[in-house]
Order: sequence, then C-alpha cells, then structure tokens
Amino acid sequence: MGDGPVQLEHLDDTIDVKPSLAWCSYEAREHWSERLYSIVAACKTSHTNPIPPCCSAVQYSWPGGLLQAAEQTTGITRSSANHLHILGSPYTNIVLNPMGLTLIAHQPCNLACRPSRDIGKSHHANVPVELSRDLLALLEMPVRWDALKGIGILHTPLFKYTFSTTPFFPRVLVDHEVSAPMAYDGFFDRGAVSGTTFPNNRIPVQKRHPHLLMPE
Amino acid sequence: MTLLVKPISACNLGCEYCYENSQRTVGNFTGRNDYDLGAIEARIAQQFARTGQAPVLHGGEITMMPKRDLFRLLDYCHTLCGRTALQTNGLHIDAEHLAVFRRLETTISVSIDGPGALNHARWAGSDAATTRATARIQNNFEQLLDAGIPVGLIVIITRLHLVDGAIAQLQSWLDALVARGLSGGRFNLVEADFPELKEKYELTAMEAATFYQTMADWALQHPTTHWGPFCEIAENLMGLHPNNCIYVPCNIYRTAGVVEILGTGELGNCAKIAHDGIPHLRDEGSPSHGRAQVLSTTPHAYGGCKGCKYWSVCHGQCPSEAIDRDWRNKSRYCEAWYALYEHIAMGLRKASPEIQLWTEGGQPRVPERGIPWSTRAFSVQPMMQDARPLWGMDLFN
Repeated sequence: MGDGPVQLEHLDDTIDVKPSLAWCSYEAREHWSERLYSIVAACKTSHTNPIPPCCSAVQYSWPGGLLQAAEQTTGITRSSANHLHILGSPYTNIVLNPMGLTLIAHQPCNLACRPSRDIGKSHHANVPVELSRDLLALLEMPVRWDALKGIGILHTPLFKYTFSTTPFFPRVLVDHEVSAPMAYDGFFDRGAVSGTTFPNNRIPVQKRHPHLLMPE
Repeated sequence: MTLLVKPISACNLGCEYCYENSQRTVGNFTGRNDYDLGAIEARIAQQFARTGQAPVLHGGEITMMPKRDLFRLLDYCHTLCGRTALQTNGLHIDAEHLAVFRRLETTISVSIDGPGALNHARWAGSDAATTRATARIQNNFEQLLDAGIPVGLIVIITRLHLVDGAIAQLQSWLDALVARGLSGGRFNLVEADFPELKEKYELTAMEAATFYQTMADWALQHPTTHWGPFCEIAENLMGLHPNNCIYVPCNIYRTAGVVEILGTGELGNCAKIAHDGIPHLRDEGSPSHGRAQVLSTTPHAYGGCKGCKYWSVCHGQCPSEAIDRDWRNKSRYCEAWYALYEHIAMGLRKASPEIQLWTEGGQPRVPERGIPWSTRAFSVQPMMQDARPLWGMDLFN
C-alpha cells in the first residue's frame, strides 16, 4: 500500500478498441437500453459551463485527470498502491465519463470539489425531469473504473462498458461510491445483478436468475 | 462455434472447481423447473437456421431436468438437426436414457477426472458418497460404451493428478476404455474461481507442461482416437483449424466460439469467463477484437504475447484462464502451452522433416504420409479427413 500517486509504466503501443457494452441482465437491458442514450444526450448540454479557477490548473489528458482528481479527494482509501476507493458525489462523478455520463465537462481538482459540484447540480436541474432521477441514480450507483494496457472497463451493477484508454501497466482500479445516495432507492429492481466482485457485490443476492424475471 | 443449451444450472454434484460456482454463489442460477422449453426450442431453431450449428445440451447437469422435458428437447434437436449431443457428469444415466440416446443418435461427453480418487474433486457431499458416485459414473460410462453410443471424456486436470502414480493410473484406466471403444476426449486444466481453491487444485505452469507432454506421448499410442488438446495442436500447426475456440481470438462480450441459450431462450456469452458470477448477455454491436489487439502489442513481461512465434495459432489462449482472471492478459498457463507447441512441433518435424508448419509462414504443407495425430475432431462436427500412416511411431525418443 502506498499514499503517493499510482505507479504506472506507460507502454509503447496504443490500441484503438471499439467501445462495447454488455448488459448484466435481461431486465437491465429492457429498462435502461433506450433510456441510457437519452440520458447521455442530456448530459452533453453541460459543455458550455466554465471551469472553476481551482480546477483550471489540473486539466490532464485522460486518464490522468481521473487519477489526479481521485488522489486529491479527501477520505480516499487504498487497498493497494493502484487500487483507490472513493466516496464521491454524483454531481462531480467523472468515473463514467468514457461513456459520456457526467454532469461536469471538466476534470475537477478533486472529486469533492465544491465549485464543480455546484456546476453539476445546476446542470442536473436543467436535465428534463423525466430523465433527471434516472441520471442521478446512474451517477450514484457503485462503479469500478478498471484500466490495463490501453483497455478500460467500467464495471457497473447494470452493464460493463469497454473503451480505449492510455496504455499503461499494471492495472489501476478506482472504486467509486456515493456516501448518501438520493435517487438510488428501487434501483435494484431494475436489473442490477449481484456478483462476487465490486460493484456487483453491493447488490443483494437474488433467489432467482435475473434472466428469468421476464416482464409481465 | 458451439451452441450450448443451458436450461438449468442446478447440479447433483458439488465440484469445488466448477466454473459455474461463482454464478451459484451469488444466486445467478436456474433451478430444475425455471425454464421455458418453447422459447428454448424457438431459439435453437433460429440459431440452427442462422449457423447450421446443432446444439449441445448442457447445464448445470442436464439429466436433472425432468426426463419428459429432456427427451422432448432431444427429440426436437434430432428432428431439426438430424443429430443430438449432450454433456453430463453421467451420474443419473439409466436404461431409459440409454434407449433414447441410441434412438436419437446422441453423442455423449461425460465429465469424469479419472478412476477412484482421481475423481474426488467431483464432490458428492462426503468421502463415501463421492466414492460411490464415482463408481456409479464409471459403471454408467462403460454401459454407454457397451451400448455403442458415441461417447467421449472431459477430464479436468487438478493437483489430484500429480500425486505419485496418478498419471499411470489415469493412463491405464484410459487404455482400458479405449480398448472398450472410447473414441477420445479432452484434458482441460482446472480454473478455480475462488482464491482458496487455487492452491488446492491448480497446477503451476511447469506442472501443467509436464503433464501435457506426458499425456501427448500417451495419446500418440492411440492413433485411432482423438485427444484434446494434443490432436488440436497438431491440426493447428498444420493450418487445419481445429474445432475448438481456444485457439482463436475471443471477444469476451460476444464470444464467437460458444453461444449459450439460457433458460428463457435468451442468448448468453460463454460462462467460463463469468468469473464474477454474471453470465452477461451478448454485446449486440459489431465485433471487438480488443483482446487480440492488446495481447499482440504487449510484451511478455506485461502479460502479453508480442513477438511470440506461436501467436498466429495460439492467440493467448482462452480468456477464462487469463492471468489474474483478467481477459486483457494472456493465459496463466502460457509456459505450458508454449512447451506443448514446441513438443508437438518437434514430433511433427521428426516424423516428417519436410513438413512446413503454419507458424513458419507461408502455406502449411501436409506431408503425403500424413501427420502423427488423429485430426478427427471428437464432437458433433463433421469428421475431418484422417491421415493415419504415421500413427503409432515413436516420435520423441
């Protein structure tokens, strides 16, 4: 375990991986598939917001910004040098940024940055009401950002999203949770699947396979 | 491509190393009656029309389905595809099963790790019960052979196969089965999902290399049978494209080698890579070759395959056995696979010095005399052409 920055070795070859999304369950796909695109589209309207002065000096190329912001966040814990655990805010959550799911369009100086949170909140207030609660629920769900050798994976209770990122070694994990989720109630009923590892180990074990819970 | 039908994931044995255990642990499993036969049949028909692929009934343990439903599925597959196949642990097979299997021309693959104590990881609840279950499975297996039903073996290799005398015991058991009509089988290295089981069951890469080379030499003594992975590797080196997905690049969110039909007829990915207990639905986008891309550009020291002379036939092996269970890495048994490729390539060259292998560039050239391993794939696939003249030659001494 270490308190310093994550230890990474940049690799020579950059690869271009086609983004892909695999749903964890039938219910998750049924409920979220179409809605997810609408929510991501709603997120994009934030791009005119200014960057707060405290954050303007820390704009790194991805994924440096995420790791820098995570390391500067108060209360961060580590289970190893390259495995970070964060209790963040949905309004400054940039972990899901690779798929365009974030309320801020800049890299915050830390994941609890108050000016950034205010920007995120104001943007959330402008999101169409029929999407705003689900958007908040997605930003509040526990997520693991997992990168190795140029391939990033977002592990969520609903799906896995694979994308290209900076090629480095060894693996880096950022586990993001929200301390007091507001819109997350009932979320488990919409296809979130239990699993043996984070974040799916936060989902209660079900008695039956989710594939079997066909809609009425 | 293999089409696996998995109406249930319930099982009557408790094998500690089962790759479906993580799904069971977190509740993502299907019980004995939680399936929709109509939806499964509709999906089988759709997949057969699309790919021409006949399904293999799988589980869990497929014989735990009520017989009426199991026989209905077999009948359906036989009518549609003209052949049937299933994977079983063999414990529940009885005379009624035998009659149906014979009538429907069913090809059976039985999972058993060897005689007596070698099969003890296939746990039946207690030492005594496991011993009884193994004896019963062996008996049922012999009945299948005696009934003339096409039957093969899946043997999961664990540390139980490393104890003194175990390999000799396994070989003499297999010798007897071959004499009785066994047409082949497969030796798979164990993949334990839970850390506490790793030490108990998993071989080191060097142990795996030694085991595989020993069994490759044994397989050569049985030229009329087909043993994986040895025959497949010979085929692979000859550019004959073996019928097994572990030698081709895998997109883990849309596995091309294995497509599963789940209890409700939904299509799923190969469950061997569901180490987190989640059998993902298939990614419906265009194929991604991320794993092949990252392995081919990453040096060995970082868990990649860059510069490996066997890359074009190996592709880092199956992601289910990747280092740290992370599909972005190559197989943790890389050294074993490499050694086996070397061993078999050497044998091929010794038998036929003019041979040109796929890994040497250019078009591989099959010698007129043939190659020493059977190229007859044991599966529901059409038989490939055999090349027999060199069988039985002592290639390594």
